[in-house]
Amino acid sequence: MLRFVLSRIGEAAVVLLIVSVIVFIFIRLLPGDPAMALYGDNIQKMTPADQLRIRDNLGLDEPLHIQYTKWLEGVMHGELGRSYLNGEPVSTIIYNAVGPTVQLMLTGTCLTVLASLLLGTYTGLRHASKTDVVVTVFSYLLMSMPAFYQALLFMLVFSLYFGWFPIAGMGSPHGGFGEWLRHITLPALVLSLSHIGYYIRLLRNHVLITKEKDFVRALEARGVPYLRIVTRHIAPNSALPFLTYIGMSLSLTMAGSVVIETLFSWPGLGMLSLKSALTRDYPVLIAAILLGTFVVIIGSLLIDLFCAWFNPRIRRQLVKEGAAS
Amino acid sequence: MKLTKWLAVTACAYLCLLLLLSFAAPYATGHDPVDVNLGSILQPPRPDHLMGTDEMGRDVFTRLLYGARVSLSVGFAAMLVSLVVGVVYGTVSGYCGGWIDRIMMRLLDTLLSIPSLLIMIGVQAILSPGLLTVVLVIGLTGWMSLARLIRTEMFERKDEVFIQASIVVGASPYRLFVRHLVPHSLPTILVMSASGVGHAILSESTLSFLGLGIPPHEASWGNMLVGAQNHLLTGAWWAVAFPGACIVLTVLAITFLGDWLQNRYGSPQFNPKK
Repeated sequence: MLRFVLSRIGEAAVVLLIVSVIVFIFIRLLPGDPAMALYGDNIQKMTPADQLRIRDNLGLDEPLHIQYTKWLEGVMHGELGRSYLNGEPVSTIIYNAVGPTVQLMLTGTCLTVLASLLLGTYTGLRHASKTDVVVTVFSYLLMSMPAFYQALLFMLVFSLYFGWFPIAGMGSPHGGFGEWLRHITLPALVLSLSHIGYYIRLLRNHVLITKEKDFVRALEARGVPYLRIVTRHIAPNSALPFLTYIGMSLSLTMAGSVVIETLFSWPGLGMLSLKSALTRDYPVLIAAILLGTFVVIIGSLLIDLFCAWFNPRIRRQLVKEGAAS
Repeated sequence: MKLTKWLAVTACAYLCLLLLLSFAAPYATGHDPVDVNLGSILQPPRPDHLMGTDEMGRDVFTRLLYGARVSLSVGFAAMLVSLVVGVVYGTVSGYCGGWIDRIMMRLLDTLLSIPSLLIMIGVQAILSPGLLTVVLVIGLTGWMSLARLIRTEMFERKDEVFIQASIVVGASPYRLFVRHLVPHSLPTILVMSASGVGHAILSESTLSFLGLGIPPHEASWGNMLVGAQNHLLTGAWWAVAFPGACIVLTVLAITFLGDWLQNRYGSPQFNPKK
């Protein structure tokens, strides 16, 4: 078991390394040069010799791979530079933004998993029933509506018309769980709904295939109660590919949360990255992209490990290997 | 099965109508899409402004038609970009196999794990905004799933006898790709390109809505929704409802077409019995 976990963590680390290379290349492509960013217009008043000395101090005349390792070392120590806007260290800004994003993605993903497990399994079993038709129509509608439009509609109906939920923000940190829940409901709901259509259809199709399989028929013939067949056999068998898919498409959830955070003024990585892109605050933007990807990779890794544990075939094999070694 | 076909026909009719209207936009309306008229801002729908006017006094119906040109062409062009990249990448990776395949797939996984919208935001921050940038950004972030599918197909196909035979008679790799490998993947390519167009239209509207897409004065469906929050507050529903409905209907139509293509030409493993 341990070996399996370690090898997965190793794979994730390799992916992270490649991402860091991509992000580093991205930084080199940004307009302006770091010396300029540090000293602003003053650099034009300096003599060429001084300019050269500064570049030398910053390590800009070294070969790219040495610059990269130095940069990566800095990132590992949390040295991400300072914001162009207010001079605050980027690490503090980012640190405050990761929490809200993780909360939002976690709540949204849990909602998605629960709702699509229920609806997908039900519509798959009751294929072509009235519920199936209604759910299918809604999933198609949700699939073709941009997330920001859904967010607007929800704000209009639930915040402005009914006044049930606050329209924006995260509430005060001392408001307790109730206030947090009231603030996160709408963003998490929209985040979940903007992806759920696809998952419901995916699960429904898997259930449609699974319920025709021979082992289900054999269970029925042996007189196993229907509910038990569904909850212990059909649902887990169909949920496995579905869970794997959720893990793979976590980056889509992250992309969705960028839009939703911006609309609901949820102070997370998404809102931060958009704000810094619009104000050309490059150090913050780069850190937000890096951390956003980091969150996605860690999340996928966790779901991946959960899937392996959830799948008895893999779990038993791993436990056996663990006992042998 | 019958329903899918009927939906596909309706979707086709709707898309044809939309294309026709947007091509004939100058003749379909008497207004100009960028003409600001501060004398009649946020007017509700009435006979001379079929869908009302926006906050600059521009006719919403006219902007919808001109916006359709932008949104549809971004959709198709971005799909073409990801089609070319995805097919080439998938074919090379699947056909070569071995360590080249392993490296290429690892890179693909990495690219998939970077949230596309974050890349789009990053790239938009470097390049100046415009039609071409939007097309490239959407196209270059949307090819990964196609590449993966094509790669799986190539993997299975490269050992088939007719491929072996054409290698034996001395076909060049280029000829092998263009005449034998890629044409056999056309069904997959067709199905994926339908969903690609839908995705690209949604992405364009999101980017433009966030202020990173098409420059604001040009009409596009996403642009028309930029001030949507304020319109909802003031009760100007027509400035929000019509562009939104256009996006939803168009993407829906493309999805139905894609489903029909999938049923008709797609590989059977994705087709549960209806």
